[in-house]
Amino acid sequence: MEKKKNGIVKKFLSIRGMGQVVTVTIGLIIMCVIFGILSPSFFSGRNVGNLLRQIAPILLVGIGQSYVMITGNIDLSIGSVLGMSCMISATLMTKGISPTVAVFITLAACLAVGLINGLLVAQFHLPAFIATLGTMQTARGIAQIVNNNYNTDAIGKAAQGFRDFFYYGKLLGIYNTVWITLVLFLVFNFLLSKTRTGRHIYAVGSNIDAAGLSGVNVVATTVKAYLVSSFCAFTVGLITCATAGMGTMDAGNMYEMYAVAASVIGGVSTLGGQGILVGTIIGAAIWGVLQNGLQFAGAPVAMRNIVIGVIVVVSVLLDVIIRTGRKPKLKKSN
Amino acid sequence: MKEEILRFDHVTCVHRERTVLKDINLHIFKGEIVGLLSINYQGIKELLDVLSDNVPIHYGYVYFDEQLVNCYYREGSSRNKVSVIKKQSSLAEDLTVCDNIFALRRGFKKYVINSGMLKKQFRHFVDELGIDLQGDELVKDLSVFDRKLVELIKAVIAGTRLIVIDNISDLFSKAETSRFQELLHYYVNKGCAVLYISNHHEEVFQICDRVMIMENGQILQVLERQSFIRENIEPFYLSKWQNLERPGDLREKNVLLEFDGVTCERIKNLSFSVYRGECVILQDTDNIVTEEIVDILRGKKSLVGGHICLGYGEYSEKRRKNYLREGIAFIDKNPIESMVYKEQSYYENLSCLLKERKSDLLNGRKIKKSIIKEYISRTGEDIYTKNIMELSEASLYNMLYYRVHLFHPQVVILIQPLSEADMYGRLHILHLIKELTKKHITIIILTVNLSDTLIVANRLITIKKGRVSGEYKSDEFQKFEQDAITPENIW
Repeated sequence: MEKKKNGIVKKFLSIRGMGQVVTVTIGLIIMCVIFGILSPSFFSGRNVGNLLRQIAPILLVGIGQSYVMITGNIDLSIGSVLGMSCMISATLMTKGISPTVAVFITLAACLAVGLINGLLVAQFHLPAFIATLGTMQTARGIAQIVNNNYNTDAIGKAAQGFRDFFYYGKLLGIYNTVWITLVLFLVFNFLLSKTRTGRHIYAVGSNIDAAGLSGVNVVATTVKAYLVSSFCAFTVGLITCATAGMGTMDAGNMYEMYAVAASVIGGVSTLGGQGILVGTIIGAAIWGVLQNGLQFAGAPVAMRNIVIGVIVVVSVLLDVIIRTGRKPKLKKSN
Repeated sequence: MKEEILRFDHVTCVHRERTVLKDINLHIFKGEIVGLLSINYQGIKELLDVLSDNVPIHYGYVYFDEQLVNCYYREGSSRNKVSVIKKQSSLAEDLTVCDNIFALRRGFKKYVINSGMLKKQFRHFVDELGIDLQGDELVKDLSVFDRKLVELIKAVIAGTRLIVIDNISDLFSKAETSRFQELLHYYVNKGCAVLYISNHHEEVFQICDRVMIMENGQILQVLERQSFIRENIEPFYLSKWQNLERPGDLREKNVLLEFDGVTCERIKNLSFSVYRGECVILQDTDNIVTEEIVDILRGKKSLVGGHICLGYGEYSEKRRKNYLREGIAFIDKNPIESMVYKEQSYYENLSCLLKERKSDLLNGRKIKKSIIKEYISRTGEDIYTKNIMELSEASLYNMLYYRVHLFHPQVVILIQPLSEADMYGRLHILHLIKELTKKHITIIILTVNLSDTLIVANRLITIKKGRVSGEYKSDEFQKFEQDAITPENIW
């Protein structure tokens, strides 16, 4: 019986990247307990609801960034695409265009950025950092220019359905934002862990030459990862627009960093080929709990940033140590 | 009648106005292992490109599975059912064995992956072969041998008709090579064909049904099994080695480096001595301790038990961390990749180790002049080269070995020095090793297979299961005639 139990535990831990997920989950639980002791209202139903709503956008951009990072690249444009999504959709809605049409136009614009990112990196072999730095600036520029360098007016009563769908509405007592995030997580997690596309994404990040030799279309796979990233940014852009009821030009500022933090804390390797989206949930949750908990504890913003920064560095350090310290196991020669 | 898998009919390839393949005629039939003994690497890459990807050819015809797939007057069709297993891994390390074999292959149709089903299919294959591999293991956790095994199984599962083995035996121990060859025979009997490329005649004679000798992109001779004797390859191969000087006997036997009961993770109670000025081969017969010995000598690993002595006393962990200052230099397995500073000039590369001795030594123009004066007779005008990437491979090897020559350490550890070189390359490296011995630098050659190292060695120490399993002086090297060229084969 004991042996069977050990076997299940071993099998569970042998799931790709599960080791780090378990470690950071323990960290998350400890953090929750500490914040719960420091401030009993941390576990109140209201705060938990707010906390989930706070985590949702970070998790979504984290999912996008994880896809890209698993291919061994990075997407710095994710925050700007988010801002672009927010501004384009809001501007269109304030001009009287129906929210559905506005959402589709915005989607097309955001996916175009993802496509360009993917092609620049995979087809034209630009370093991902540089390529997405360029599109980051461009997308932010578009977000600014779309309403002549002004934030938009309120999106109006015609868009109330849009606001309810993305932010204010509830289903079974849980905010729609959380449901949207959950559905997208399930879809993208399935895509990454159970499908051929997912295996190709891991293969490209693990050994791009081997992937090419095995018939994997490296360009298409990389483009797909960037498209997922842009789609996630697009969704968060709409949530941001629904939350504020207007388009703000600086929406999504620094979100590329939050996305990297959520992915890396959750065990996605900066070197590519490794990581699971369950880890990204934990990474986003740690980010959210730290923000929320430290706020409850009265810590200044600067302190929160320092703590999150330290956690990101420690996570990457752990990843590097695990990767470089690991030796191929010994086997008897056959 | 034999079923033909591949036929090259007078294939000639020209690349940048240079003939890289010249009038190649090659037949491979089903159930056959054909050897390609490459005297040098010229033309091998192009041959593999034509063979697998049907790249354009200048003259001739290529038939695969009895179909014309490429000829000089029209573009070849897409790809042939050929898999090339080479030193460089073609596996995604972060994926499991099953994922690599099934999901990462051309023509894998299923979109949603059922891992359980893949594992079952994989089990069926490995049970048939009697090997101990788990489908859900990550490739990065496998040994080099197991990775190559996975590549072989992947090739067979992908329906490959012709498997090309491109010089991979340097990665294996002798036992592993034999095991790998057994598996090749197994698949050949099941209907595959194999083109076995190697630059060691001992190896191709062991496994192949026919051997072609190739040099400068041209087939020089084809040998059938009954002609697999050393005399037949002597004109192409061994005669070129006679310029090497036979190693002399040691005048005095002063111990310089001693391992006394050294134990670490994989090393178990390892004891041996190396004399000053000696050239010793440490053969890691089961391919498990080479890396650990290097890590220990570089101070990257601590000893669990035992002692190491170097020169005047114990070679402690503190001393080991400053191994260069202690007079131990290393030349890595693939030094052109790992030890060349590509942005620096030849002189800077040549003299970089001297900084370990005295940091301000190199600032003086006089010193530079004197180094150039001393080495120009060996390196030629190369020593003035600013962009070293323009240099030939032989010049880069010169630079790396003369770097050690100039540094003059007590001991130099050569890690599989011949593994990346063709026959001319090996000969060149052996000459360079001789130059080091002439300067009375003690040499330890760490290797998995003997290759041609016996020619320059005074002694061979074999290590099995982490401990010394045998010790042989140069007059006993004839015992290894089946595995490597011995001094008696040449002189």
